Amino acid sequence: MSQQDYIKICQDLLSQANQENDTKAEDLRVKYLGKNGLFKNLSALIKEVPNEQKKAFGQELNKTKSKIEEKLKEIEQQQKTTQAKIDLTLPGKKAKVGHLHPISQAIEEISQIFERIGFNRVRYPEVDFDYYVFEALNMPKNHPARDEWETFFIDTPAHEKMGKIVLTTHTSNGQVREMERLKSKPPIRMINVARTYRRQSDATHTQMFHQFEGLVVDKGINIQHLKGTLDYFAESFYGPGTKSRIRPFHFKFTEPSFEVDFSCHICGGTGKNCRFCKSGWHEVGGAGMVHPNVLRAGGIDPDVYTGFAFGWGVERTYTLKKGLNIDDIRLFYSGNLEFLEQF
Amino acid sequence: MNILIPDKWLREHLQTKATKSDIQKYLSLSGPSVERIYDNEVYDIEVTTNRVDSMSVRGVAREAATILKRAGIAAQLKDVKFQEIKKHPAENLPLPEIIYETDEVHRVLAVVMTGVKHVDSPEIMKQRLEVIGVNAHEALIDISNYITHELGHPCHVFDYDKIMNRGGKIIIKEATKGKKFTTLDGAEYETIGGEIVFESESGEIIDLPAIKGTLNTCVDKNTKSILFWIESLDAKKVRRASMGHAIRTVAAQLNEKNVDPNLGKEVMEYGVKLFEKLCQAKVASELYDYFPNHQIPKSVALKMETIKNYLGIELKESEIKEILHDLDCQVSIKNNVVTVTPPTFRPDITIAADVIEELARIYGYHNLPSKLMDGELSVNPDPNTNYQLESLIKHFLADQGYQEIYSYSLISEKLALDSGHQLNKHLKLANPLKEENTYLRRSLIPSLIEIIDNNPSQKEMSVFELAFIYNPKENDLPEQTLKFSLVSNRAYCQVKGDLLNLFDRLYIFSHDQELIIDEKINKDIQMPIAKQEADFLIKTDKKQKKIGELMILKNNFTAIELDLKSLIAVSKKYPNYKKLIKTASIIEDLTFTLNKNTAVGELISAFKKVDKRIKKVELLDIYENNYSFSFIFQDEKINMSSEEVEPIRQNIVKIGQDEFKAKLVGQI
Repeated sequence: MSQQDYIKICQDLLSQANQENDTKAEDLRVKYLGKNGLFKNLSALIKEVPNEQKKAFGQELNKTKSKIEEKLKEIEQQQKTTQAKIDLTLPGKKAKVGHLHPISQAIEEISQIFERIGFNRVRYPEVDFDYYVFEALNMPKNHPARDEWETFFIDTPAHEKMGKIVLTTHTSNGQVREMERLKSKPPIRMINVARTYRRQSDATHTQMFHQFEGLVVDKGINIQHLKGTLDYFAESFYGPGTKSRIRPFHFKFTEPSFEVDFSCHICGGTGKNCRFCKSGWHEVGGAGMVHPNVLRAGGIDPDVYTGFAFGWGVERTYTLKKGLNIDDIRLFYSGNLEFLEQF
Repeated sequence: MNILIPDKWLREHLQTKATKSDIQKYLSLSGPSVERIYDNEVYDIEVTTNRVDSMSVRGVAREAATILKRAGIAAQLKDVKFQEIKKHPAENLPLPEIIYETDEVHRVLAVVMTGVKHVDSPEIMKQRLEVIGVNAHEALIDISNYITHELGHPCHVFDYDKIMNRGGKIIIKEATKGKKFTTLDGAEYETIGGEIVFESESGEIIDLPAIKGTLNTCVDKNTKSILFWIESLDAKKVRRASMGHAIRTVAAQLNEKNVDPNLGKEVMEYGVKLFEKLCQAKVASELYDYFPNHQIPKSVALKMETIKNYLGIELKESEIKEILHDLDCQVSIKNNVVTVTPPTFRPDITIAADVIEELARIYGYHNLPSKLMDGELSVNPDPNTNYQLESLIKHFLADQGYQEIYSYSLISEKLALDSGHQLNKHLKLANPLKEENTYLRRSLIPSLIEIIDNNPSQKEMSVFELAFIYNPKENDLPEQTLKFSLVSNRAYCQVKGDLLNLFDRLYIFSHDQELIIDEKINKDIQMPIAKQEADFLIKTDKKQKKIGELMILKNNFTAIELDLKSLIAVSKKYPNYKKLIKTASIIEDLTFTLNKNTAVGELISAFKKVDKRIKKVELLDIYENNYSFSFIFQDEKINMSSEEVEPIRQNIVKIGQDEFKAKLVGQI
């Protein structure tokens, strides 16, 4: 077979391929490039080519093959785009996914808000000595202020110095512990999030719940800074325009002490016909300037440093979100998947 | 403590044009919180435990007068003066003899009145008592409740003749343990020892003072003469007795908070006036007043600078003086030092911060600016954990189909036992609220299993939780360790795959670490609900570290409990980058027939060790006893040919055959 002959048969095959249009792309692939396809037949002709021209024929074959492949791809692409339309109303297929518990979601959001203004998240024992939970917080034994906390006690002998072992009734046990951890050296900006426990159970109270505790100690810390921090949190967590206010209250471990309210974002703080709030405000928790005795318990000189602290329930804070509509916080700890999967 | 006050009663002490909603608003902002107004008439006011002086109509009126004035609304506390108590010339009855065997008595006031008439209280008094939640009886009894609410000092009325018939002595002393007494409502008690009691000459208990009267000396419908009585005892003693006997009367709740003994005289005078007016009683003795040591409040000195430190603004001297005067304090300012002497009814003002609170609240917290603090940040993260990693793990597991759970740390006896630890190796609550929440858990697994069981409608359940477990320690806090636990009813291989994915995400394997599953022999199984147990170990060049445990439960669930701290220790934030290999790889599949007992994981490890050019061995498929594996061969320098793979292939077959009795299916 002469050089002209094989060039011609190669070109013939190519032009044949170029005229293809209607046949399905995969059938064409079998026809041209399959085990017994036209190209295979063509390459078998190499036997009839004189040895010195075999190389040239080989090259010609390769060229032809790649051109055929190109053409086939083009046809394939064309056919794909002209296929029948996809029914866009078909139901989506979802992979099975789980969910973060709503309390985890709330804690993440709360922590991130405070971390943005320089607070360090920490974690302290949830089963702790009376000393850290009450005594170091300026609450001597048998003080009436302790009545407010329905405390669970562990059935074990009291420690000689540190007192009884209790389930933490609040995250405030982290206050003196944090001062100790930082070797009594401010600045302190702590956010302590933990499980807390009180002997109570109804639609708005569970035996176990969560609190977050903020503690700031430094030179020159004053009530304005507490207000600033509360306003910053309220706007970040509930949305722009949410206000906070502090009102006089009494805790043994802060002086002055405050009750903290956030403006109701459901009625816009007007209180008009709103069944969610009290006159436009929601009570969320307590706050105050750290009592000098608490600073002393943590080895910090109250004549040099001042500080503020606040502590609220995560559940309470979270369920005030607009449109969340959870009216029974026991659901959080029910392990009911139908509830949890909504988050 | 909450106190209910009708608006009209309040205005008997408060001269103001302020509306009810003004009163609610401004009191709440600067004083006791007015939580609600019932029927547009009755304020429900929360008074904090340190402000017993505000636990009365007059106390709230006094606060309101100062606060409203500051808010720009004219207001004044009305002057209330009572007449001196004077014995009726025609009556003469001796006072009982009062003997003090304890020095915990701060004041006693007493007067005998006789000729009492048993009549109903006037309508207004009955209504007011009803509104504040006190049952109205007859005037003789109602008067003491009424004046306690109005003026804030508890008082008591004895049947005079019952005292005199018992010898006419009142011995005030600390009780010995185990003495019986019956309170005026007929309930029987026994002394706990140490509480202050009144005894008669014969040693009979005739009153539990400051808390509740006893049946043997209380007034009844035959009472003709009364001993009208006020005592002020040591507050701690009162509290101990009240808590010890669980008798929480209004009197006890006030008396345990240091009611000002100076208030007693006014209350006495007001009471006498009402007994005279309503019961036609006549004063038959002189007023007895035992007041051994008038406590004069200590003054508090503070620098002007300290006030600025707390408020962030400077208050003028005149402003400081005005506010504190309005609060009945004496004030002097010299050389920038403010010296404050609080009134006797404000024993809560003892330190500088207390004075600052008074200034700040009356100035108005709402009038202070709000700003974030600047200054140095503390860079000192919690060494015990890594919150970013915790969050990453939670999100990763959730994305793989695991539902996060928060379950109670307090568990039932059954769940405690399911952990494999004996009950006495658990912390137990001394005062549980519910039986199913009595023990502090030592594993999260039983709780998670319970949750799966409680959701029978869910076909596939995979759950996880991050929480503390509590291991008791002798004479110390329990060891509190954070565990990351998961339980799933997916097939074991799938759960293991999920976990390996997580470990990949934590770059554990990228840093030449290897997971070892060290199965325990049968007798070592700890959890009664498990049928197989193993330790998870992470192996590095030099050592192995346990990071958790694996359990196959009797119901075929897979449970894994990882120790968070150990997991953090082996986790990395980034991979150990391996150079990209440019040579081509060869992929081949081989199928072996295996014995029933062959550990496939070990077989794969053995295959991998055959030659370093084996880059990957994966189990592709299982059909009966035939296991298909995919091998990837790759040389980092040259493109391997089939011929070069040949000896490796033969070695694979040989190792399989010799060490695992694995028979190749087909030929190589």
